[in-house]
Parts: sequence; structure tokens; C-alpha cells
Amino acid sequence: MDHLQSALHISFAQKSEAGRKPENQDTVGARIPEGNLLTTKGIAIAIADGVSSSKAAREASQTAIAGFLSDYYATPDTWRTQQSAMRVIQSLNSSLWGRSQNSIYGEGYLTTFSALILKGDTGFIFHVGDTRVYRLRDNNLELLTRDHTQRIDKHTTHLSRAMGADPYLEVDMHSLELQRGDIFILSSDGIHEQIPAAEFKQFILGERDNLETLVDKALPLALHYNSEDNLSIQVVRIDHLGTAGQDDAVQVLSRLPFPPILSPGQSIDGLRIKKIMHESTRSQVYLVEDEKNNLLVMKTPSEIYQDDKAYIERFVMEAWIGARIQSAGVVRIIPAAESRSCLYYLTEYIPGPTLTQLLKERGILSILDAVELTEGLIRGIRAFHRKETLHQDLKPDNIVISTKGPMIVDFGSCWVAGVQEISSPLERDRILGTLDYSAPEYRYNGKISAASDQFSLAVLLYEMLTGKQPYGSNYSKAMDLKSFQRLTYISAMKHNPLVPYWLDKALEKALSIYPNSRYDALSEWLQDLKRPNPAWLTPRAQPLLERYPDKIWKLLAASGWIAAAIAFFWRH
Amino acid sequence: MSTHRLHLLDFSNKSVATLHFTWFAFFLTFVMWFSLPPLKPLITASFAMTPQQWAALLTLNVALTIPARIVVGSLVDKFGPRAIYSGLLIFSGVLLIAFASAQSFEQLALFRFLLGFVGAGFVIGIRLVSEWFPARQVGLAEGIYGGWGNFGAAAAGFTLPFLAIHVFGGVDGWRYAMGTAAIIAMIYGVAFYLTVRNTPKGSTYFKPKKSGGLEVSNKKDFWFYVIMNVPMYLILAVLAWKMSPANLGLLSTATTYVLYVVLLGLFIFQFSQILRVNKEMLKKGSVAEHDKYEFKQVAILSWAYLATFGSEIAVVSVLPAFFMTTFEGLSVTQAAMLGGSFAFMNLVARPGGGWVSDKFGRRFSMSIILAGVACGYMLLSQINASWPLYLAFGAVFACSLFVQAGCGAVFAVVPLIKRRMTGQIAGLAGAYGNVGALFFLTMNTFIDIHAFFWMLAITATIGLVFVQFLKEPQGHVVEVNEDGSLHKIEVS
Repeated sequence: MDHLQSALHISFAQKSEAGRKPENQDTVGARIPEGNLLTTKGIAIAIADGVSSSKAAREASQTAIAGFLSDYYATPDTWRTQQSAMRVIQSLNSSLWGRSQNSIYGEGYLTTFSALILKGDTGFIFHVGDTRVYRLRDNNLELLTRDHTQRIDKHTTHLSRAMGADPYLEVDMHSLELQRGDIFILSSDGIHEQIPAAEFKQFILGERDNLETLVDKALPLALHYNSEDNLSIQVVRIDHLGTAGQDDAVQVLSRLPFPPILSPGQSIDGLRIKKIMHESTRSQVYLVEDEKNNLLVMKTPSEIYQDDKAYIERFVMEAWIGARIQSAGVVRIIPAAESRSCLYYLTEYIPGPTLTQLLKERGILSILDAVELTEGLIRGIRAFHRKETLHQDLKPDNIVISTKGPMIVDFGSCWVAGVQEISSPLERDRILGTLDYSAPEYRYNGKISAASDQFSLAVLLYEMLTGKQPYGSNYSKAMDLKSFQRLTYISAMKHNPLVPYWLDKALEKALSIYPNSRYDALSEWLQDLKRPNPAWLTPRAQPLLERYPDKIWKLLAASGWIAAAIAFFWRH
Repeated sequence: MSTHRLHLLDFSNKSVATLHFTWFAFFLTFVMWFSLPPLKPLITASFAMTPQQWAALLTLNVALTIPARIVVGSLVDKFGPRAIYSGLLIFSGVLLIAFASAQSFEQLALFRFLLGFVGAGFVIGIRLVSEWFPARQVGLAEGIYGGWGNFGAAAAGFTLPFLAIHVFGGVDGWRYAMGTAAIIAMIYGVAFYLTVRNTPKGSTYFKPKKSGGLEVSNKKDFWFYVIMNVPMYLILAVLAWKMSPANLGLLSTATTYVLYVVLLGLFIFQFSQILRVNKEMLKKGSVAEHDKYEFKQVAILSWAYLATFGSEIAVVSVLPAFFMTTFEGLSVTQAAMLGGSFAFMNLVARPGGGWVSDKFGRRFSMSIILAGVACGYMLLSQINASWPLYLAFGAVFACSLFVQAGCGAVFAVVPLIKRRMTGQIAGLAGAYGNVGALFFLTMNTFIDIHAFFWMLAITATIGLVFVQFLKEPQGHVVEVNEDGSLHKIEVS
């Protein structure tokens, strides 16, 4: 992961004072982490203005800021920024709302909230209420948020949205690309309500070079314009963007050389090669033995890709993804005992045949065995999905049947939501999975989701039951939506009469060409696999519209034209 | 695929089976491509051709190959090697049948020109083989593919005249012989489609990256690259001139001018492609450190391939006729076999050249090989009627050994220049091989056969000088200790 190191540099200043009010109900806060957190989570800056009509305002704003800054950094690394931030904000909202409900004094824990997260070369804004986020780029001062206020009459406005006001909170969010030299200003209404817009802009432009003096002078300026409220302002300037230059990224990556092609008997870093397990154009997989005579599996990159940065990145990522996923159904990554002298990674060795070999030996599996294996695979895949990771390349070669059940042994094509967001200078490879097993959306450029892994799982189950492919041999040739639409599902009962009708229907649903028509969750599918779905107990006549959709619509259209023609001639 | 040796007889191994299927497809394309030279006496007799016309026909045979490589390359990107290879076999079979049933010299010329397409088959198989073999074996596998496939030229020399004279016989025997080759190729094209797969079953599929021009490292290399593309169009322009009323009169003046304009347009198009790929570099002045390589290396290899592969194609085209005219009393079949023997050693010499290059250093091997080529062609230029036949055969044999080893040696270095761009560099070197063939055959129409061999010898000598500037590409330096452990792994 070190190659994704963000070099984001910022200057930052903030100030918050009570002003003419007796108590400061605003809270400001920021967290500027270093190292890995800076890359995966970025910098968070947040401002909250406790709603003054409630007595618990100060506590509310403090809870929001402190909670946000600690909880956001505790979310899993693999979650997307927006997902992480939204979940944290929603949970803080529920807790504030709960406190308002339970307050014996009937106090409302209400607060506005605006946060800016800077990550890599992207900024994310989350906003509720009338605190504001401005951006100064070149000489344009732009207001990026919309105040959630309702004007009641000329003098009174009401906050229409606040944290803690309702169990359901709608948060405005958007993301924007950062540029070097951008200045972001977060302020509470004590500052921006009173200072006239033109004056405010002139002031910012004049003080842009020194953020400390900018915040120092902003407060007296607001007081000068008779601000009666608390005064809070935060200013951040992007000094250096977070995307590592390509040179940097590659230098870090190519620190470790590729290992040469190894033969049994040779050893490297104290690991002796026992056997070549698999070789492909992209990688070599060896069975190795460490000094304590433990058997391990070593994967090395293929030297054909020595100067392919996208390939190297993916290879480095594989080990990282694997290390993050803990499940009985997924192979474990073993940290190397010695420091590595070249690029490779180790996993535990799982004795047992691959699913390919098993199917070759046994032909087809019994329904009970096949469903049991699928259940094990679902468990493994859910471990991926919980970490916002898609496997993307489920196929019989990647599954080893161990004594404890099926194990997923490859991470070569995984997609991690959070990581994709960090923009990398490398043009990444577009993985299309394995033609026979990957979902259609990979090839017609549809939206990839957990349902894509569901499709691959269903292909596997279909193959276990029948030894065939659900859409026949034409499936691997289809490359666009049109050709996928032409394919029809071949009932598993045709190949294997023992497959019950309801199981076939469950397969068909998971194998839908359209991701939306598949099961919403793997658990629902599993349920349909293990227990007959009452709707599918016996084959019933399908509605005509489902059986011949195109014919029915054509017929309808034709009859419409005929009716129109008749009507036309009737008149004349 | 768990063994690490290549067992060529293990047909149950899908990779090995694919290799055999693929080299045989390449082999058949070469049989069709070189069905012309060994049948010279029969064809010239049928049409009462002048030597000039015959020479023009030989030239036309290789003209279209240069642009065809580009077309075929992008078709493979789009449809995959399996469909394109079988398509090429069937399409060429149809063209060859059309050629075999031609009734006038104009028709012969047209279909030979179109048959130049078949020479582009090489590119397809290289792609297919690289999909099927892991790094450990891919070099050897491609050597076998190239070498055994090229052997098709020899096979054409050995079989077609025999078929034409002894099996079919008569004035039209050559037509039936070619037709037979064409039908075999067409049937094989269908079989190829039914048996071969683009990738091993279950291999992860990545969207192929877009390829355009070659990326170069600095402005000087950019212009160098652009200039290196000029000869490809120039030689085609010379060919067009040759066919114009100014010379052979196969084309009308108007058509000739249209061709000039088309060639200019193609050149401008290619220039724009090169410009597009290198725009970023031209703006900054150079590319990032890790992306740098010396274009000079590519140019040297291209020249070496021109001197070896280019001359091979040219020599295979003219050799049967040369033997026929030099040695009295040689039958058509014998002359064709002697001519074909030049391509015979491909079976071992081409993979052998790669092996020598791996073993004894790139520049050293290449120098020895090119020196051998130069000497070999000088020797051939001395052959006359007073030589005993076996000595002439020996000279041809020895010369061909060096020529084909040279091809192998060039392709052993290509992947080491810049791994990422191996395909494009191989494409450029390969194109230069064809430029060479076209150039030599065009020259053949102007000069006599002894001067022709001298020209080849001089080309190889120039190559010998160029190769001295070749930088030894660095790879791993790995030392294996006695206990089998590795140490000192360094990469350039």
C-alpha cells in the first residue's frame, strides 16, 4: 500500500470565540493524520453551530465534531469516503435525536454541521444547516453549500434542517476535484451573516497569503459589523495535491525487483521451492517450505510485466486485500518471516483438489453436495462484501475443496471501493473476469456490484449440478448488451433431471442478465437454495407476457395500428 | 501446465496442442505465399511472360504485406486470433484459387498483389502463442512457431512442383497444384476455428490495451522514428512507379497518381498516430525515467531483421529460377527443391539463433551471425555453372543457417528492450523485414543475380556495423548457490 501514499499538504488556521454572546456554542475541529491514514481517510475539517434556541446547543455541537473526527477515522479502510462519513453522521444524528427525546428538561440537542474531507486530489463536503463552506479559486470566492433555512418574514429565518432534529437526516454531499492553491473557508453564521458578501470577498482576497492573520482579523471584522452571534472560522489552503506523481509511485513500487523464474530445489529468502503448482502468462504459483518445514504457497509476478506499472500495482494490492479479509472460507495471507528480497506474497497452503479437478473427477455433484459447497462459498464471498470488496473472478480454478469446506484462494481481480477512489497516476487494467464466469455487466460496461459476484457463484453452482454453462457456449462470445439480450437461460433440469424445479428457478433468478433482476442479497438466494420457495413449488404456467415478451408487445402494437386504421377508414 | 519443460508430444496438454495448431496455420500461409517461385517455369510458359513481368509478379507478392500487418494487427485486437487466423486461411485460399485460374497477366498480377495479405499471418500466431504460454516457456514456444511455420516456404518448394508435374501433369498442372494447397488451407481454416481457443479455459480476461504508434523517449528519437517510417511508403511508391506506364504499364497514369496520393495520405495518418501517442512527451521534452529506452536499439534490430528475414524472403523467391538458369539440365522439381532448401533450416536454425543469443551475449552472437550472412551471400554470388551441384547446395545451406539464426537472434532481443512495448517493437522490426523483402525484390528487377547477392551481402555488412552500437540489454543477474539458494537479484 505504500505506493498510494498521499503527499497532500495543507496550511490550516481556525478560530472560534463566543463574541458578544455569553457562551460559545460553536465547535470547530480538524484532524490532519499522517502516513497510511492520510491516504485512506484523508484530512477532516468540521464546523458545527449549536442551535441557540436550545440550551444543550453547546453540547450538541461538541458531540457532533468530536464524534465525527474520531468515528470517521475508525471506519474500515475499504469503505468509500462518502459511505464512511454518511454512516458516521447518521449515527451521530440518531444519538443527538435520542438525547433530545430523553432530555428531562425538554432540551433539543440540535446543531448545524459542515465538514470538508480532503483526500488525495478530491474534496468531499457534507453539510446540514447554515454553516457554510466557501472555496476561493483564483480570484473567485464561491459558496459551495446551500443554507438550510426558511424565511418566515423579513426579519426572521428559521433553520429548516439540523442534526438531532429528526431521526432521519438528509445530508447534502458533494465531491470536487482539488487544485493546488485552492482555499476553503468554513464559517458559522456569526461571520458570514453580518459581513456583506462583497466586503467578505475583498477581505479574503486581501488576506489569502497568511491564514493565521486571516482568521485573527475575521473576528474583529464581524464584530465591527455588529455580529451578535458566536464567531467561528476555519481556513485551509491546498499547498500540494495528494496524488503522488507517477515517478514517485513507480519508484516505490519498483523498489522490490521481480523474482526470476524459479525451479524446484532453489530457495529464496529461506523459502525452498518444492513444486510449481501453476504457471500462467500473468504469474507463477509455487509450493514452498519455510525453515520450520511449514508448507506455504508463494505467488510471484510474471517477468513479462516487469515494466507494467498497472500490473505491479494490482499485484501489490492482491496481498493487501487478502490480508484484510478474515474468513474460514478465504485463504489467509502469511506475512513473510524474513524481509522480502523481491516481489512476491505468501498464503497458507490448503491441500485438496480445486473445484476444476473435482468436477473433472466426479463429473457432476449431487444436489446436496453442490448446495453445501455453494453455502461455503457464499460465506467466503460475504467476507469480501462486508469489506466493500468484490472478488470479480470466481471460477473453479480459484476454489480449493479443503477438509473444512471450499476455500477461495485468489485475490487477483478484487475490486475495493475505497481504494478505487484514491486517484492513481497509473492507468489501471480493466478486468473483465473470466469469460465463462464473469457477469455480463463487466462486458457491456454496466454497473458492477455485489450482484456480479452472485452471478459468478450461480454459474459455479450450475456447473456443479450439470457440468454445463447456463447460457451455452455463446455466452463467452457476447461482448455487448444486445448480444447478451439474445441469450436464453437453459434450464438446469434439461441437463440434470434430478434438479428440482424450485432450485432451477433460484438459479435462473441469480443468473439474470440484468443485475437488478437478481437477488438483493446472497442470503435470500441461499434460502431459496436450501428451502423450496413456495412460489416455485410446481411449474406453473407463466404469464404470456413473460413467456413471449417481444411477441406480445408486437401484437399489441400491431393491433393498435389496425385499430387506428379502422378508425381512420370509418371516418372517411 | 504444472510441468516446467515443454513436452512437444504431449498433445493432451492444451497449450502444446494449440502451439502445434498455430504453427501449422502459419506453415500453410507460407506455403500459399511461396507457391509462386518454385512454379516459375510452368507459369511463365503458360503466359509467355518476360523476365521483367515475372520479377514484377514476385515483387507484387510481398507488396501488400506491409500495410496488411497493421490491418491484421487491429483485427486481432478486435476479434481475437482464432477468428482472424481461420478467416485469413479461408480468404487466402479463395485468392489462391482465383490466382490459379487466372487467364491473363493482369489477373495474375491482381491476385498475387492481394495474396500479399497472407504474409501478415505471423502477427496473429505470435499473439495466440503468447496467450497460452507462461513466461518460462513463451520464448521457446514462439521460436518453434516462427521457425516451423517459415518452413512452409521450403515445403512449397518440395511439394508443389512435384504435384504439378508428376501428379497432375499437363500445361495446367501448376493450377491444380496451387488449388490443392488452397483447398487444404481452407479446410484447415475451418478446423482451426473449431478446435483452437483464444485463451486457455478459465484464464482471466483483461481488456486489451489500445495500441497506436510506438512511444519514444525524446524528441530526437521521435524524428528518428518518423524518418524510419518513410522507407515503408517510399518502397511502395517505387513499386507503384514500377507498375505505371513509365515502366511495366500495368496501371494507368491516373491510377498511379491516385496510389501516390493514397500512400501520402497513409503516411500522414501514421504520422498523426505517432504524434498522438507521443504528444505528452513532446510537450515535456522527455518521458519519465522508468519509461526511457533508446530508440536506436529498435532501429538496429529492424535493420538486422531487414538483412536477415527480408533477404530470406527475397532469396526464396528468386533461388529456384537462379538454379534453373545456372545449372543446365536441372528439372523443374529439382531446381525448386534446391531453392526451397534455403528455408529448410528454419526448423532448427531460428530457435537455435535465439538460444545462441541467450547463451553467448546479444551483441556478440548478432555480430557473428551477420558476418556469417554477409560471407554466405558473397559465396552465393560466386556460384556459376562450373560449380558442382552439391557445392552450390552446400553454400545455400550454410548461408541459410546464418540467415535464420539471425531472425531468431533478433526476436530474442526484442522483448528485452522495453517489455511493455514488446508487441509494437516486434511489429516495427517485422515490418522492416517486409520492407527489406520488397526492396530486394524490386532491385532484382533492375540488376542481375550476382549483383543481387552482393547487395544482400552489403546490407548484412552494414548491419554488422550497426550492431556494434547495440547496447547489451541488462536483465537479472542471478547466481545460484550450491545449495540451490539464490542471491544477488538485481534488475537494471
